[in-house]
Amino acid sequence: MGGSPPLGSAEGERVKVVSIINHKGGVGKTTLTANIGAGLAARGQKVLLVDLDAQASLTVSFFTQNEWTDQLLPKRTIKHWYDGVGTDGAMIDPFGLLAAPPRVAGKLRRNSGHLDLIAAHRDLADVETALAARLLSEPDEFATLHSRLRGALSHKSLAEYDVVLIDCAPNFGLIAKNAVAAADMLLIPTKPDYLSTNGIDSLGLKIREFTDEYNEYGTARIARPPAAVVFTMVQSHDGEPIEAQRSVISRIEARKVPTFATTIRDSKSVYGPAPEHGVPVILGGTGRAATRELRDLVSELEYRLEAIAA
Amino acid sequence: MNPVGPDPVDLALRRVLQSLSTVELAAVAAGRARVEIHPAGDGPVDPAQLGLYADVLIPAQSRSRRAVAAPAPRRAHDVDVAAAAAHIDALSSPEAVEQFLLDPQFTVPVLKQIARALGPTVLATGRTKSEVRRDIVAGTAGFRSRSAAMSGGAWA
Repeated sequence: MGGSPPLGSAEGERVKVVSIINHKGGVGKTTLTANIGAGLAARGQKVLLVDLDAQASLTVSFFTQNEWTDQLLPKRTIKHWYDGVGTDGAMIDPFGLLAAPPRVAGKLRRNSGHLDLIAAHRDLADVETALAARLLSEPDEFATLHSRLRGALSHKSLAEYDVVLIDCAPNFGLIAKNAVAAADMLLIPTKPDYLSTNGIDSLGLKIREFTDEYNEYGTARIARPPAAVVFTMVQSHDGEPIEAQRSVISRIEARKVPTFATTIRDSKSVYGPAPEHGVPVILGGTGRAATRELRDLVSELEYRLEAIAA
Repeated sequence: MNPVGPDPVDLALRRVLQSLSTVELAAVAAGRARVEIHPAGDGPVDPAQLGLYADVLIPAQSRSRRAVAAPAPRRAHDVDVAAAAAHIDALSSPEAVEQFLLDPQFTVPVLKQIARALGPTVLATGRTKSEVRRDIVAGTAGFRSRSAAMSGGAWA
């Protein structure tokens, strides 16, 4: 295991960063992160995944429990990047955190693409609690604490990557806000149901409040990243979402919330077993219809990222 | 006095009215009930004689049960569905939509047509007036006002 050596580029040059975020759980964040990342790598892109969820679902979708526990947890997780933040003891180069998932690397060995991952740590929630407490006592550290991840992804040792995908935990705490501050784009997986529509509204408000607050405290301003909803777990009849879901989708579209045209079907038989094998559906060759949708989603994301870059 | 005897229509109408109590008449006048025609016996309906059998008062709450027994489809409604949908679309408060939908002209089939005319944000699968009304409110001013309150216009 181990990330590719850095090719080097000017300090401060940033790769395109997409944060997959929704403070509602069970909407498919991890599944989308894994599949989009693998899909982009299969198209020849150099992709970095970052797992910000203490449940480590993304990490264990690529590494076995033993690989994670023995090789990553001791020194190579995103928690280590946050340890000692704002002090002399903090890491200054994130390169040592990179790990290449072996089974995906095997699938990609014949193309120029590459996929690495910075693993989660099961104590990440404790780190978040400690940082939040610190912020309460030292509010002047707002920018330092919220731009820590942005700093990592701007580091020259990661400049070789084309895209970074960040899998957020289902909350809008300090570390998820780090993902917003670091992002060029937010991808919001959403189930088309009533509760999820409420979640979209409150998430939009929280994102706006956070970017406003960040720009009040920070010396370097950030723009509110463009966001788009991807509908997941869609149930179809005759090629169309069932009426109950269609009305929810229409209501979200009617509010001018940007949405991806591609929707992801509800298929537990296809998506359920994939993490255990360490290879996402898009590379695994199972579920042809699901794979086609995922490829369409990757194409749409590439298009949107090009539009942002333009 | 009419030299050719009493008009059969007047006679039939009088019979119908006499068969109704004051309360029932008030319900018909208010649109909460209506009179329907059912033929006596098994034979075909003779339009000339319908009035003689027009003695059935249908309370609004038992309309669906009566509808099953009705031998002929109901008369098409006179509601301008497109205008009703446009009016609802222009309303900004759920309460105003709810109030508008209480119009007695809006039977379940009419409400469903209005729901469909309002587009895919409105579910049109409700089976009763209250269900369809609820879905129309939720799919129009309902979700718009809730969203505005929760998002603070962040998505606008």
